[in-house]
Amino acid sequence: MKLIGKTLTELLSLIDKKQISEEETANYFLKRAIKYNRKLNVFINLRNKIKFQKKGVLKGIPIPFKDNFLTKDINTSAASNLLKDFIPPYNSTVVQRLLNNGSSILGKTNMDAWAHGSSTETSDFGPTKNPWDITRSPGGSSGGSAAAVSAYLSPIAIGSETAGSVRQPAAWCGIVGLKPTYGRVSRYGVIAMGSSLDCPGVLALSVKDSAIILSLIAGKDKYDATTSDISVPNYQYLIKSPKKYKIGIPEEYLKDTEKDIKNNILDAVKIYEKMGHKIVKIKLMSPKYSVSVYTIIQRAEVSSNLSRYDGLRYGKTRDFFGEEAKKRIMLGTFTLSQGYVDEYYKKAQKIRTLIIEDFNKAFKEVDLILAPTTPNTAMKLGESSKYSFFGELMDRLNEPSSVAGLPGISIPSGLDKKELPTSMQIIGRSFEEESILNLAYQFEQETNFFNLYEKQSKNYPD
Amino acid sequence: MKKRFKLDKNIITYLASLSNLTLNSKETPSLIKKLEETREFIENINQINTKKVTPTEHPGYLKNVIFNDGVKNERKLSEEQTFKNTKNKKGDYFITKKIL
Repeated sequence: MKLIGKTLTELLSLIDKKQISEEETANYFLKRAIKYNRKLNVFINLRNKIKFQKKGVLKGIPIPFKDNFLTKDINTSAASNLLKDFIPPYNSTVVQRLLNNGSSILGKTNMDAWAHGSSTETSDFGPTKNPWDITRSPGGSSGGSAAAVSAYLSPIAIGSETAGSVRQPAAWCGIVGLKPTYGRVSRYGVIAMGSSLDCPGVLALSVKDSAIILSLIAGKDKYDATTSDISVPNYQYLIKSPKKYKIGIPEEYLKDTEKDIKNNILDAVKIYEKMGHKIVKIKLMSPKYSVSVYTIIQRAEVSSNLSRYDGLRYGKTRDFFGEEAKKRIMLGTFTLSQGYVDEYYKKAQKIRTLIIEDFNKAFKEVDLILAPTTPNTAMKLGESSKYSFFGELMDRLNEPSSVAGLPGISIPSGLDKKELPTSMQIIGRSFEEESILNLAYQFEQETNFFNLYEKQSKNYPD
Repeated sequence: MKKRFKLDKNIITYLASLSNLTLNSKETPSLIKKLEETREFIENINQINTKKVTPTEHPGYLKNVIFNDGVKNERKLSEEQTFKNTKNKKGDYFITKKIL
C-alpha cells in the first residue's frame, strides 16, 4: 500500500483496520528519513532503529522532536556544540506525554542553535535545506521539524516557538504550524530561551493532525508552574462542527508584505466571505514596536537562562557559544544592567501591557484575526547573515501575538511566482485554540491547501 | 531625550566580562556593529508613552503557583545520573574554578 502523503489521521485508521502494521509504518518513515536526511540535513540525531510501541492513540508513529526537547538517554544539544555530548537524565513533558500515548522517537531535528534565529543557519551542525528548493532556508528555529513534515519524513513533528519559530518555518515549508497559548503546553524539559514566551508547538500536514497532537500534549503540568489548569477540550472533535466567525484583517500586517503573499490572502478572504464569515478591517499597533519589545525581553531572559551553561555540571565551557548566542547574552546583560534596566527592560514590559490591551480591544470587535505569517517567502541560504537581527525581522508578524501569549496557526495559502509556498496565520484569544483550528480546518476542507502536498510528494518519492 | 551613547568597544568588553564570555579579536568588530544596530532599532520604544502603564512579567495571569516536591521526590537524580554529563568531578563533588 502506498503511504506517501497520508496524514496522521489516515495512518492511524489504516493501522486500526490492520491494513498496515505499527512496525511497517515506523520502518517506512525511518527509511524515508535516512534516504532524504543527507540531502536536507533535517536530523541532528536520527535513530538507526525505532523502538516502536503497539499501544495508545498514536500506535507507534515515530515523531521527530526538535533538539531542544530533552529526551532521556538520547543526546539533546539545542544544535549547539556546547551541549553536543549532553545526555538528558529525563524526558521533557511533551516527549513523555506523546510516548505515553504510544508514539516513538524518530530523531532529533536541526534548529537554530539555542533556538536563536529564523533560518537554522545558526546551528552548529549546518543549515537544514528547504524541501521546496534546497538552495533556500526552511525558516526557523524549528526548521528541521518543518522540513521533516514538508518532505514527508513524518506526518507530524514537534517544534517550539518563542516568537515565530513554529509558524515561520511552517510558512516557508508550506505546512501547518500551530503555536498554542502561552501556558497551554508545558515547557518542562524544553531548553529554556525566553521563559515568559517559550511555547511548544506542532508542525503537521493537516489541521486535524495538529488538533490531535495538541489534545495529547496540552494541559496542566505540575512541573511547569506557568501551565494553566483550564481544561483541555477535544480539539479534533470540535473542529468537525464549522462555526461562523467575524474575522479582522489588520492593515498594518499587510504593509511591507510581498505582493504574492498579499494577493493570496485576499483570495483567501474571498473564500471565507463566500463561506459566510464576516470580514472587517481592524487596526493594531504597528509590529515594529513588538519587534523591539520582543528583542529586549527575549534577550534579557536569554542572558539569564544561558548563564547556567558554565561547563561544570554538564556541557562544555562558554567558549562554545556561537556568535548569535553571544550577541543575545550581551544585549540582554546590557538591558538588565544598572542604569539601563528602567530605560529598556522595564519600558519594554510596559509596552508589552499595551500590546496585550491592543489585542484585547481588537477581540472585542472580532473573533479572530487573519494576517500573513511572514512578510516574504523562503529566502536563500546565506542571506540571514546580512542582517543584524534577522530572526526578529522575519518574525515581525508573529512577535505581537507571541508577546501577548496568544495562540496562532499558520496554514498554506498557495504559491508565489517563484513556486514557493505562501502562508497566512489565524490568531485567536487566549486559550481559544478550538476557534483558530476550526477556521483553519474550514479553509483546508474547502481548498485542500491547493494540493501543495501532492505536488511536493512527487519531488520526494519513496 | 536622555543621554545618547553608543555600544562601543569598551562597553562590549565590559558586557562580555559580566556575561562570563571570552571574545576573540576576530568576532569583536562584527559584534559591536550588530549590537549597536540592534540597540539603535529598539530605541523606537521611546516613541510610546508608558507613564501610567503597569509592566507585564508574563502573559499567564497566574498567581502564587507552588509545587510541593513531596515525599516521593520523583525528580531526584541518582548519583550516577548527576555526574554523567561532567568531566569536572572528584569523588562525589563537582570541581569549580576558585572564586575567592
